[in-house]
Amino acid sequence: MKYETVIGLEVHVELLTCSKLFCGCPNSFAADPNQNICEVCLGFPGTLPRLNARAVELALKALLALNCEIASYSWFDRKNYFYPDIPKGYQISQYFVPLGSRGYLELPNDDGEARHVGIKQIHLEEDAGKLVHGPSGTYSLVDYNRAGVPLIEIVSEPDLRSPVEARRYLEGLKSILQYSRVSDCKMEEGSLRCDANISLRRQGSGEYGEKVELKNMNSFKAVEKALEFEVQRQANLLDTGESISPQTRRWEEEREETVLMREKLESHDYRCFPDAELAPINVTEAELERLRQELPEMAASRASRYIDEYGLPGYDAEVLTSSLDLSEYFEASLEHYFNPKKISNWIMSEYLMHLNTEGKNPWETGLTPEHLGVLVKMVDEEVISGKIGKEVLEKTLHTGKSPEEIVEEEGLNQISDQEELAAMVEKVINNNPGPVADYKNGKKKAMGFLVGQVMKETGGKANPQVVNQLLSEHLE
Amino acid sequence: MSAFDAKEKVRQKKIKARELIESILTRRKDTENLNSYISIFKETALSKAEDLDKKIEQGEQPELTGLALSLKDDLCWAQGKTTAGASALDNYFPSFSSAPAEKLHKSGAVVIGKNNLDQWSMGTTTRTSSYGVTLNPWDQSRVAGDGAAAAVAAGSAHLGLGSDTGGGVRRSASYCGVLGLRPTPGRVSRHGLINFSPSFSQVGVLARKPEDLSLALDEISGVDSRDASTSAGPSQYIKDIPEKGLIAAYPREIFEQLDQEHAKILQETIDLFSQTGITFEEVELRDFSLGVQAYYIIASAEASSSLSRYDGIRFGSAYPADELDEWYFRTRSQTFGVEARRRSVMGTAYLNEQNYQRYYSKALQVRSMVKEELFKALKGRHLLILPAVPSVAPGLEDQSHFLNEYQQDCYCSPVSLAGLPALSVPAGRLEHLPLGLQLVGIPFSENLLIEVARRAGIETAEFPS
Repeated sequence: MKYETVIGLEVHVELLTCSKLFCGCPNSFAADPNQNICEVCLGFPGTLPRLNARAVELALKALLALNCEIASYSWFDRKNYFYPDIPKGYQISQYFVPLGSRGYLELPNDDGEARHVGIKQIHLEEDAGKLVHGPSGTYSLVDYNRAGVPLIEIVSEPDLRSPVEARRYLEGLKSILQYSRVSDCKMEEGSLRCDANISLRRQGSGEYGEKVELKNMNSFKAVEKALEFEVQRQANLLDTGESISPQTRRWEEEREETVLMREKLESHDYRCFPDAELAPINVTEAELERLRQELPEMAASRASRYIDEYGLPGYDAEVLTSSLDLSEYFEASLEHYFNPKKISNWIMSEYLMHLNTEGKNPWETGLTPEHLGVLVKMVDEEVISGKIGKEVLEKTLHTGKSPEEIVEEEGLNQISDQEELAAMVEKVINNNPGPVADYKNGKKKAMGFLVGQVMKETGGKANPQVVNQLLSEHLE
Repeated sequence: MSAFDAKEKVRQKKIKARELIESILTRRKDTENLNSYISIFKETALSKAEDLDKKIEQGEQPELTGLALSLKDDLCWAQGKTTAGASALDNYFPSFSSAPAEKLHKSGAVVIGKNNLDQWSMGTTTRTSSYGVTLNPWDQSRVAGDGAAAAVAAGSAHLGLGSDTGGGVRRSASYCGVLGLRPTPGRVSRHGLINFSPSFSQVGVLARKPEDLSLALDEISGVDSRDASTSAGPSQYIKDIPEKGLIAAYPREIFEQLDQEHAKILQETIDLFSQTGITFEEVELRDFSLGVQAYYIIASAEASSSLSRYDGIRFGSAYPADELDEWYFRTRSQTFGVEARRRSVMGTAYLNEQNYQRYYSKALQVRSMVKEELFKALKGRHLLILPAVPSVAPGLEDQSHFLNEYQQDCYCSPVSLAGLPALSVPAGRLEHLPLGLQLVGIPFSENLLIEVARRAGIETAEFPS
């Protein structure tokens, strides 16, 4: 490719606070229209915004997790523009001094080298409401539930060099913000939104090309696809000697292409100035230290630890660190039975399937990390068979009863006793002359059938290895 | 009757609260032509007065028992509409009340009505109000500044709460011959105040006697979680005021700008202060006179933003159009009066990218300069005295350029820029028209300013006939 792709992303993330940024209204998704509203977030004359301290804390956590420099003194500004979804005719944002700046995110590269993607700034601001348009422009309705929800805007440096890298950056950002419990980052619910700026330049050129802004991508995959489309579109234009005009383009998911929204003739003048209705934000080193202590070890570090120290395959490490909850659950299970690969297998094969179907997080079922540890240990020590183990897991999930209790109550202990099993084996041989003959005539497959019959007789409790061994002895 | 005297009489059972409120309502009726009220709460006021009388019978003694309080109509009061003088808010019935009004109400004050004001409090005369002009009680061919000052002067309220951005409370007090206090920013909660310029707007008090101000200020001061700017002061409000040795800064050149007659009248009050033992020391104020321009630039810039919410979608009558921009244009052109339009347009212009440095940033610089200068003048001194206004209340028919009207705030608005508390006290009359003198103090020294006025025996003694 003779062009280098230059991408910068602007990501808006809703903070996981209970209430809005400047009032006590609930910050929750999917309420009926205009239920989460009050005089303050509707900008009623005579009301004043009151800053939600928790929102500042969460923003600071994000800044710490993203290695930002933090302004010890900053304030809110009014960003003025007219649109029905902003109740006051201005958005309260941070224009002059963002809370954080000059951070970075480390991305794993294909060659295994970590790469720094610069974060230009992160600032705190309030979200706008939503317009709902009637058929063919007959009317528009406004829903202010989202108006005043706390957001941070994360502006990256133009450091990303490919659509794939842009997607990885978003995944990395999401993981860090979720681990920090700053945001749930659900793009489908709009708690993470991403606009992309992209330009091409000749390989080796020091100057940036004319950039195009892309909007309306509803998933990370869509961001990647929109950027891929745009790389092609711009390259084709440049190849034919045409110039790129600065535009805002819209990603059309169905058509899989970007379409022109508007030419960027001049940048909008928001006439920003400090909002004297709010006190400045002072951040102390003591507060930062406290918040630093609250941050967990992030996914990337955990994953490499799982690989290096626990000897897990890369795939396992990736799955187990896909959320902080799962990773913490995994580590808690190890405290009860330290066999990382076995625990990992049980989580990845049995437990995750259940969690995914139920839409639960690992801590929300009857299966505690202790239960899982004990269960896997019982299987390992052949107290129960793997098959019984799966049944026990299922029961523990739903009842919260410990695996020992279930095994005890239901008499599920695995039968490995040679004498006890020998009687069963004899019985099965006597009752199944056909398959026995088949086996003796060289149809080794018949063995499977016979083992199955013994298992059936014992209600699945027989130790399959012992049964195999006994059957072989009897039939030879 | 002053607020202090009124509540004392009720507490000592010399008069029933109901009788007191009835007499105030009668006085209001008799002075109706002043147009000082937009709303009157006759029934609720009388029934509250009756409740108070019952409490007094039962031996309770609420602090402000029975005094009649009126509120400038940019202070929300949950009992009726709050218009801010703007027809766009004619159907605005807030569900909450101004914090200081609520506090006075809880202490036994009876809210009797809402006072007229300029549209969104932008103007100096009430001529921009959607509810007509308020007449000056001392001369009905002249303006009053606002309805709260007119009501307190005319005796249709014992106490008024008003708002002071570039001088609202102090200017109106001067025009009407009453006391008007602008407290230090942060002393009184602004929750429930419809402000157009958060950098400057404060809730102030209008009264007839210094004691009335102390009474009110004690009740309304304090931290309010609903207003982030409130504070308890550096350590506490200044309370210990020395008997002797008070020093006042006196900017001679500023007083020399006044008409001779005007200056002479103020001098008599200054002499009164001297007689109470205050020493006057001359200071020079160079940047002070730039203040009014800086004030109007910043206040207009903020107004252009604060008024954006009146777009006909939630507030005000809508003038719908197919295109959104046209909707905004029509609605705002129709519902905004001339001053609101002017400040929206000018404020927008000051904040535009091409003007920002030249106007807005410059004005902020001037603000720092004026602040520094006034703090310097107050260094080692207890107060600074200034004229309140450059002239007596203008005539109703006086047609002057808006810039001349802005000049009415030339002595008040620099004090707003500096964030200092100021008290305008009645200081004699030019013919029959009152004039005010401004006492300015360091932050949170309101009690000192009030005490200085008390020692000099300053009060509004009589009623206009």
